[in-house]
Amino acid sequence: MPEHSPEHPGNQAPGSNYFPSGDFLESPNLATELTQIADVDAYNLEALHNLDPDQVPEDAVKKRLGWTFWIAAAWIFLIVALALLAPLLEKLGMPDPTQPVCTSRDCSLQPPLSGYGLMGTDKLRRDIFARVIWGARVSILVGVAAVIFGIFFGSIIGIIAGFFKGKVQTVLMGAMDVLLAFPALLLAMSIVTFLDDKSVKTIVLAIGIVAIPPVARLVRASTLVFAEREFVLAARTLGASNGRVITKEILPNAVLPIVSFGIIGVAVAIVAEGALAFLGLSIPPPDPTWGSMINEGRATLETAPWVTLMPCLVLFLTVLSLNLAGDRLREYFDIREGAL
Amino acid sequence: MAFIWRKLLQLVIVLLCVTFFSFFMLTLLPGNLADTLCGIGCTQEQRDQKVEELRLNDPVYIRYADWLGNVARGDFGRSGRTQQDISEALTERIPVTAELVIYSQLLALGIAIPIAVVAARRAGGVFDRVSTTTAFGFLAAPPFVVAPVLVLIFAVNLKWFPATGYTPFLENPLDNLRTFFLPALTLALAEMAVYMRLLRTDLISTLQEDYITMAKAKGIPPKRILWKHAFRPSTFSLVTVAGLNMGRLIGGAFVVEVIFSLNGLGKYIVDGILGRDYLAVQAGVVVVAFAYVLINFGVDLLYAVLDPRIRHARALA
Amino acid sequence: MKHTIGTGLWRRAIPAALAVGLVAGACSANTSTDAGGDTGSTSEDGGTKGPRPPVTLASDGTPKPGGTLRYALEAETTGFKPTSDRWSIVGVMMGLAVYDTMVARYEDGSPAPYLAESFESSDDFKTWTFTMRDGVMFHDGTPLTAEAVANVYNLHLKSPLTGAAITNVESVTATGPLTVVFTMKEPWAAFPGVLTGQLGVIPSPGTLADEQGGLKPVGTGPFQFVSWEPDKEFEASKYDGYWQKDAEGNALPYLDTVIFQPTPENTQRLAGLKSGDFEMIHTTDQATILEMRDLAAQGQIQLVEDQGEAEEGFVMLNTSKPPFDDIRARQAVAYATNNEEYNSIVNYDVNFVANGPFTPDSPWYLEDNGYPEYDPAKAQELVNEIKAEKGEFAFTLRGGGVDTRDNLEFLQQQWEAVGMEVELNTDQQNTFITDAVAGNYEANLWRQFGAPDPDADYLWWTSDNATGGLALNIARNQNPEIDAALDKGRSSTDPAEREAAYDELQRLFSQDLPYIWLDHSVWAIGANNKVRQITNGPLPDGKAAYPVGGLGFPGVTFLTQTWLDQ
Repeated sequence: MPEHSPEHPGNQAPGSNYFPSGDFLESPNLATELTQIADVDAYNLEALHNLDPDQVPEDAVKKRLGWTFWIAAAWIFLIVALALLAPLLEKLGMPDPTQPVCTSRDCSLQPPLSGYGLMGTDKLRRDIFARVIWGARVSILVGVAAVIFGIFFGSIIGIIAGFFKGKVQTVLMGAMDVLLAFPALLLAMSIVTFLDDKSVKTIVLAIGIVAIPPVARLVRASTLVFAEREFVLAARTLGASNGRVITKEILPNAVLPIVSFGIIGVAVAIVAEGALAFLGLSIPPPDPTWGSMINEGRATLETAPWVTLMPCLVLFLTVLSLNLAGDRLREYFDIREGAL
Repeated sequence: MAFIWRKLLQLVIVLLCVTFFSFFMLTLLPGNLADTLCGIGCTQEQRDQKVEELRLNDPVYIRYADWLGNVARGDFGRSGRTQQDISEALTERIPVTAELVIYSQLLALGIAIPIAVVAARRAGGVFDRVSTTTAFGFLAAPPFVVAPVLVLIFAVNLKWFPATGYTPFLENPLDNLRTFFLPALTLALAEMAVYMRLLRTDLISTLQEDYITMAKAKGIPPKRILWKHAFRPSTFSLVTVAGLNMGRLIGGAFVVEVIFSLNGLGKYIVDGILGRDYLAVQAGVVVVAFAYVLINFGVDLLYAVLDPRIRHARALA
Repeated sequence: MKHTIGTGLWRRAIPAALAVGLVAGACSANTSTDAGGDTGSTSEDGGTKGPRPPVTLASDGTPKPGGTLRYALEAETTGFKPTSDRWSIVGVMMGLAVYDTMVARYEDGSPAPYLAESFESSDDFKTWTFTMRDGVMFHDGTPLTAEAVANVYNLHLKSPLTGAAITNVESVTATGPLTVVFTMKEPWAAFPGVLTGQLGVIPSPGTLADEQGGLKPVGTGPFQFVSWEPDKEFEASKYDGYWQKDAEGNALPYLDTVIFQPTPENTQRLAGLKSGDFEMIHTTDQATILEMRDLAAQGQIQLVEDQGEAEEGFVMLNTSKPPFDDIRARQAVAYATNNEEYNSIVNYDVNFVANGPFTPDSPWYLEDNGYPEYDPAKAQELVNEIKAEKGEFAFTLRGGGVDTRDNLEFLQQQWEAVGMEVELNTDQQNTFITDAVAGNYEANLWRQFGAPDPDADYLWWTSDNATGGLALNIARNQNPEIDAALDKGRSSTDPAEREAAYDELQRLFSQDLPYIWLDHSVWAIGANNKVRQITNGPLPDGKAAYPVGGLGFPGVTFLTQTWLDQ
C-alpha cells in the first residue's frame, strides 16, 4: 500500500463516499476506504479499529497480537467449543435446555450457584447454563452463516463494481445505497415478517441481506486499491484475463480485510439476531437464543435478575471478544500489509 | 456546482428506488392486501370498496405513481390500525424521534469530549487505558441489554429518572429532559464510546503536528494548547460521524423507542410491520430514508465545503 | 375481536388475550342470591381457588371535585365507533368515559337501568321495551331520543363485526319519543345484560353518520372528547351537562379531566404508578400483580382485584381438522395437561385453576363436571394408540404475541413428555386471531368467556357458527346437545332451569373437550393513594353497583364517581 495511515480515519470524509461515483472515491488508501463503509454501524466499528488504545503512534508498528487478543480468542474458542459439544455435554449430565430440572415447584427461578446449576434456573425451571450453551449454537450459527452470506454476495458485488468501475459500479453501488437507506434492523425485521417464517434459514437470510452493502463497499474499496497495484498491472501486461486477475490477484489480497471485517460482522449479526429475538422475530421457542432469553427474563428483572443478566453477560462478552479479536487481527494484518 | 447537482440527482434516484421497492414489496405480501386491510368480518361489499379505494386492480406502477403524487401533497392515507391520518401521525412522531436522537447525541458528545481530551493529554496513561477499554465495552452492549440495566439502576432502585412518560419539550422543558434521559442515555452509551475514541485518536495525532510542537516550544501552557490549538482541528471527523449517526438513528432508535414506549417514528414502523399496517410502514420508511439520505448529503456537502483537503483533492481530480 | 398490534408484544404472560369487544357480558334476569361478583375480601371459599388478598382501599370521605386522572392502559384501541371498531377492554374503558351504556349491573350482577331509565319484557321474553331518560343531551347539544338509540342498534344489526352478538334481535324500533322496542326472534330473557359493554353504549347520531366519527366520539357520557393521539393518549374533560348526580345532588363527574395512556409494557405501567405519572393502571400480568400486592400491603398503592367472573385461559382445539378431529387426541391433551402446575409455575399462583368456563364463585359453576384429571399415563396410552394408527401425533400450538412464550413452552414440555410432537408459534395477535377465525390452526392458547352470564357466550359455542370460512365458534365443535342447552339457557328465566342447562353445557364440554381449561385470569387495578372510588359507585337509583367488571369485560369500571383526594 502506498500510504498507511490507519490511525486517521478523519483524513477523508466518511460521508464523502456516500455516493460511489463521487470524485474522490478513487483514493488509493485502503485504510481510509475501510472507514468509509457507509453503513455507519460498520463505520463505527471500523473507526474503532484505528483507535485501539495500544495503537498510539509511538508504538504503531506492532508485531504482536497482544494478550487481549488471546483472551478474547480463548473466550470465543470456549463458547464455540461448548456450543459444538452441547449434545455431548448433555450426555455427560448437562440438563436438557427445554425441560425442567426438577418436578417440584421449588426449582423455578433459583439464583446461580444455589444448587441448581452454574447460572440458576428460569421461570419454567430450566437450567440457564444449558440454555445459554444451546443458545450459543443458534447465535453463532446465525452470526457466522449470515456473515458468510453477506460476504459471499457482498464480495461478488464489490469486486465487480471495483474492478469494472464505470456504469456497472454506479448501478451496483447505487443498489447498495438503496439498501442502506433502509434502517438495517427494520429491514431485517420486514424480511422476517414478509417471509412469514422464523426458521434459522430466514433469520440468516434477513441478517445476511443487511450485511451485503457494507461488505460490498469494503471489497470494492480494496479492489479499487489493488487493481492499481504493480502486481496486478504486471499480470495484466502478461495477458491475464479479467477473471484470472480477479481470482488470482485481487481476491487473495482482499481476503484479509474481509476476514477481519467478518469477525466483527459476526458480532454485529449476533446482536442483530438478539434484537430480532427480542422482538419475537427469531427462532421459535422452546429452542433458546440469547436474545429471546434476555427478553423472557425481563418480566422478572427485579425479582430474578439473573434470568436476563446471564445471557446478557455471555452475549456481551462474546460480542466484546469478537470486536477485540477482529480489531487486533485487522491491525496485525494491515501492518504486515503495509510492510510489503 | 455540477458536483452538487449530480449528488442531488443521485439522491432523488435513491429515494425513488427506496419508495418503489418498498411499495412493490407490499404488493407481494402473502394474502391479499384488501383482505388484510378489511379485516375479520369484512363483507364482500366492503372488500370491493377497499379494492376500489386502493385501486388494487391497477398495475403496480400506476398505483405507485398515484401514491407518489399523494405523498407529494402530503397525503399518506389512513392507518389501517388506528384510522388516524398518517401524515398527522408522522407529525406527532417525528419530533419525538428527532428529540431522542439529538438529545442522545448531545449526551454522547457531552460525555465523550471531556474524557477524550483528558485521555489524549496522557495517551497511554492509566486514565486513557481505562476509559478506552470501558468505551470498547460499551460498544459490545446493545440497547436491549443496556436498557433493562439502566431502568433497574436509575428508575427502579435510585428513582432518579422515570422509566416512562413523555412530556413535550414546549410544555415543560425540564420534565421533558428528565423523562427522556434514560432512553437518550441508552442510545448515547455506544455512540459515546465511538466519539470518545475517535476524538482521542485525532487529538493524539494533532498533538504531534509540528505547529503544536512549536507552540510548546514557545512556552504556551499545555491546557491552552490542548483547547485552543489542538481541539478544533481534531473535531472534524467527530462532527462528521455524529452527523451521520443522526441519520442512521432516525430509523435505528426503534429498539429504544419500543423498550421505553416512546411514540417515535421507529416504533410507528415496528408497530406497523407487526400489525400489517402497510400504508403506515410505507410512510415511515419514506420519512426515514428521506432523512437518512438528506443528512448524508448534508454532511457530505459540509465536509466538502469545510475540509480544504477534500476541496483540494477534487480540484486535482 | 381484539385488535392489538405491536402492543401485545410487550405484555407478559397473557395467554392469547382474545378480549372480545362484541360480546357484551350478558347478564341474566337471574335473581338467585348467590350471584357472582361479590367483592373481594369475602371470597376465601377455596376449592380450586387460592386465597384472595383483600382489596386495599383508602377510606372514602367527602368527594372533592377537580383534578386530572391519568390511567395507563395495556393497549391502544382501534377507534371509538362501537358499530365498526373492535373494542377490547381498553376500548370499553375509554368508551365508558364518553359514552353511557344502556344498562349497568347491580351488585349481584343483575342488569340495572343506566342510560335507559327502565326496561321490561313481555311475558314470553320476545319483546323488550326500553324507556330512555328524559332531558339527556349529547355533548354536541342534540337530545338523546329513542330514534337515536334505535339507530345505533339498527347499525349494529347490519354490522358484520357486532351483529353476530345480536342475531336473535329481529328489529329495533322507536315507538315513542323515549321508548325503544326490541323484538326477538326467539325468547331472550337475558337480553338486557347484552347492553352493558360495546353493545350498550349510545353514540350521537352525528358520530355514527360521520365516516371518521370513530376518531372523535360524541356521546352522553360523563366526559367529553378532547383529543386522541393513537398510541399516546386519549383525553376527555368533564361534561358540564351530565345527567347523573351523586346522592347529595352534586354534579358528576368529579374529575375535570381523564387521560388514558396506552402503555403496553407492564413494568412501565407499574413504574409510572409508583412514580406518580399515572393515577391508575390495570393489568393481568401475574408478576405485576404480585408486586402490586406487596406495594399495597406496604400502603404505597391501592389495589383492587376483580373478584367477579373472569376470563378463562385455555387451549382451544380445532375439532374440524387433524389431529384434533379425533376425540382421543383431545382427551390425550386434556390428560397430559397439569393445569395446577401450569398455574403455579407460569402464573405464580396468582390466577385460579380452571376446570370449566365459570369461576367457582359463579352461580353457574359446576364443580364436578367430569373434566379429565391430569393423568399422564392415560395420555401416553392414547398417544401411543393414535400414533400406532395414524403414524404420528404432531401439531402446532400457537399463541398471540411473543409474551405467550412461557405459557406455550410449559405446555409443550408437558405434552412432549407423553410423546406428542409439538411445535410452537407466537404470531402477532391480529394474524393469530384472523387465522383462528378462519380455522387455520390446530391448537391455540386462548383467553375468553369472561361474561357473568353464560348466554353472552352463546355465539362462540353454538353449532350455527361452527362452519364456513370464518367461524366464530372457533373450536368448530358441533353438538346438538350443546345447542339445546344454550337455547334453554337463553329462553328461560327460571334460575333452576337455567342452572340445569348450563350444568349440562359444562358436562358436554368435558366430554367434547374443545377447550383444555387452564386458569381463570385476574384483572387487577392499581391506583395511587389519592384516588377515591376506584370501584363503581352507586347506580342512579342509589343501589350498589357491581364493583368491578361486568361491563363487557372483567376489570372495567366507570370513572364517573372517581375522585382525587388532594
